[in-house]
Amino acid sequence: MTTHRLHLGLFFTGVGPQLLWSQPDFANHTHIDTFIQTVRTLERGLFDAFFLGEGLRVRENRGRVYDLDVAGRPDAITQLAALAAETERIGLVATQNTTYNFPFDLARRLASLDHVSGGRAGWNIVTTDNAWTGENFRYGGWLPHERRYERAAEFVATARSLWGGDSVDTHSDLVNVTGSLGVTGNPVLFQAGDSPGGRDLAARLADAVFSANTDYDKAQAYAADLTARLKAYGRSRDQIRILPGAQVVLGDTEKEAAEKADWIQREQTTGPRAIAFLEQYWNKDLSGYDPDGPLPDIEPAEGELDPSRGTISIEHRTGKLERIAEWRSLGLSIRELVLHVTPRHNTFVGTPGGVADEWARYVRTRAVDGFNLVPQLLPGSIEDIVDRLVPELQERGVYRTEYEGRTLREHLDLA
Amino acid sequence: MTRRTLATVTAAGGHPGPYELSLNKRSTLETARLVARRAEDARIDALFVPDLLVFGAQGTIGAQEPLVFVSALSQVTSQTGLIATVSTTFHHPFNLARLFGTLDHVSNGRAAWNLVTSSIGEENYGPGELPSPEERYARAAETLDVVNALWDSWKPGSLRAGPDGKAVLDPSLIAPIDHRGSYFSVRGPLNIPPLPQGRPVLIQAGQSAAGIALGAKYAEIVFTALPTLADAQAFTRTIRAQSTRPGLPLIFSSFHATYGATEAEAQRLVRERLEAIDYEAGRSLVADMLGGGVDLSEAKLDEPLPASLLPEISDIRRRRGRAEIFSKLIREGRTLRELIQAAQDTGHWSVAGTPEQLADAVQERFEAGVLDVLSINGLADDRTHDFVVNGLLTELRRRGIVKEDYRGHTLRDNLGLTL
Repeated sequence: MTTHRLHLGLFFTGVGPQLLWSQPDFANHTHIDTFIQTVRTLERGLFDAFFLGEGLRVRENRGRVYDLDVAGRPDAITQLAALAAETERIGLVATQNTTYNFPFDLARRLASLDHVSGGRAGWNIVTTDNAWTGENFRYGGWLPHERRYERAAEFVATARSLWGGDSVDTHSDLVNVTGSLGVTGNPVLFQAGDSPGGRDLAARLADAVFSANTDYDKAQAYAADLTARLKAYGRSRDQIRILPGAQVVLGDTEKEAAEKADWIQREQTTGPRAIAFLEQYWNKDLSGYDPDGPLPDIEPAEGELDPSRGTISIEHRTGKLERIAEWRSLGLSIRELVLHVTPRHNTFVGTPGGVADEWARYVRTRAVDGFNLVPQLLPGSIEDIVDRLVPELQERGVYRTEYEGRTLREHLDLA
Repeated sequence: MTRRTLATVTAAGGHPGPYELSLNKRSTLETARLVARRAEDARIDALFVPDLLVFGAQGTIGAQEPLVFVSALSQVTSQTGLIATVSTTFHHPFNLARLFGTLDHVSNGRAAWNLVTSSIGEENYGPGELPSPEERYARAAETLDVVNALWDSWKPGSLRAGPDGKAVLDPSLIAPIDHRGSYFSVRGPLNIPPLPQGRPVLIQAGQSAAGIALGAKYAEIVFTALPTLADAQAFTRTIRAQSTRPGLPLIFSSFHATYGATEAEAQRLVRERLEAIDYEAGRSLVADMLGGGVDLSEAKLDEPLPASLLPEISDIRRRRGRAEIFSKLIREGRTLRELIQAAQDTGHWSVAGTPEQLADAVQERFEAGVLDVLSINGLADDRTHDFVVNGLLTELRRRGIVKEDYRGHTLRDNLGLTL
């Protein structure tokens, strides 16, 4: 029987509550040196890839710039190109959307990243499906959700032809390219959306998925669903790598790890963050409420959620009144509720050995092929994983002991 | 006030060869590292990456995307500026502001944008024909209004360290731009913290009337092809007369130097190069310089071209400035052979001689006030490296024209440009 090994990526979220920017000893989040130190540590830990997200608008809360997001969203390819010069082996994956880019231009930028890095580029394909983001572009709001996946599929097919050295001549109402790139390349394609359109796109053309299904049962169900979809496109489970997002909190004992996880989650869910979270749903000023008191007794404003925090998937933008009614029935404080509904279930908490045992089970049963890890503290989270968890995984034979290949495709054992 | 000095730029080099482009798991940075190191050792102010958007138009230029390339170069250098050529015709301003903003951050304030409006490449960005120069420049102007507003959309102090060392964001200092124009509507603000340089240094290339108007209004530096001192004087007068900013834009000329240990050696090298020209292939090169609409296949090599062959400038949609340069040469009575020779340098300033003679040519333009930034060739080539570093640059430094060292940390510091 083949021993499947874990593939690890690190997803640098930039904005969002996971990273505790506000800790005084936290690295400077806009300086390139922070990123350089991070990827060097990951390379020491033999990680497959470093991921950067994308955002095309400053996030807001109730129409105002959301001051708890301090990092901004620099362009991923530009940042990763700089990191390429500082690293030798680690894959560099850029999240880039297919809606507000030209196919030729983005294909060329990704091929260039593949070249400056010597074959380590990856593309996390997203469609950026909201008109709120579109307001920064003249084509604000163009294309309904399902057509975005249509354009994405044509866009990716065109990029692949260009990378293959083909002279492309493709014309539709969504993609128009005549020409050739002159650069061959083969960036690894990641897909991240969990909607049916997103899953189909993954089955059709992705090399790897950055899935949202981390709990063991969900991970198994997702792998089964994806396997069925792959079959429909004439592909097999072996042709794709599944890497759900996850957080890790380690301690010398289970108890110490649990305490640290609680501390991190409380820091991630400050009073103002908890209030801002509810304001998204109520769409009213809730600043007068005590984060440790009961949920607001006033009724929420009309209308569904707007995506102005940039993170709400389309499946979660409707049905807010039902959700609020359900929350009220739980009898939790505002902060307790936010702790309850935010994705703590994606967090592995324990001793390095305990977490390694759990991950070994995931990969041996092929519920996943690895994890895309979201750090909370820089450099602390990463040093913990690299120095404490990686050796335990190696001891269990589920993680590499050296880089065998040079390209990201080779790291992921993709043909 | 700091004494006026001549800034220096060189091509980033490392235009990848076919071997690198076939992706043999080897970084295309390898050759570029050598040039970058030589440039910093020689205290060159900036590295320059051209772009043609189309592969094969001039060798392998255009194969790699310039921003990605200079971003990688930002980590193999620490002081030299990084100039990326990017078109406004095929990009959206919000993306452009993010891309250059990110480059300025990763390089700690060394980014410069060489703005072009593109004379080729539309087939890759369809549908549609290449817009006319007037329309391309109108779009470029609106693009600049938008990107400048985006770069200014985070006011000073919007992101700062609080009393306990935590990063604090003040939303009251970040405002939407709410731009609604003919080509774009952009809400803003930019989603990147303030740039180390505030804005990247703006360089613009294009010598047509529309190009000059854009450069006079927006550019801090204009990249030019000015073959003679008289051309440089006329151009500088024209563009500065249209500019409301004293001393701006700075004049940036590409200097196509042929280096010799003696004058005779330099002349011999020029002769050898002229003899190696394929004059039959040169006919189409000159036709291309004239906008591509003329047929020179039957014209006599050693006779002046008839004025009837001069193109109607307003009909030309691509590289109109180049067509103006070559039309002028025809009116001056140059033979086709001479035009083909000039086309080898694509109309740029070309001088042959010893380092001292080359320095004389540079000094003449510098002192005439028609040269502020000099693009130097030959640094990457082992045959000429010594002439550049220990010849021309040493001589220009001895004469006090080029500064001895970098002045500061950002490209703006080194060029003496303030916002």
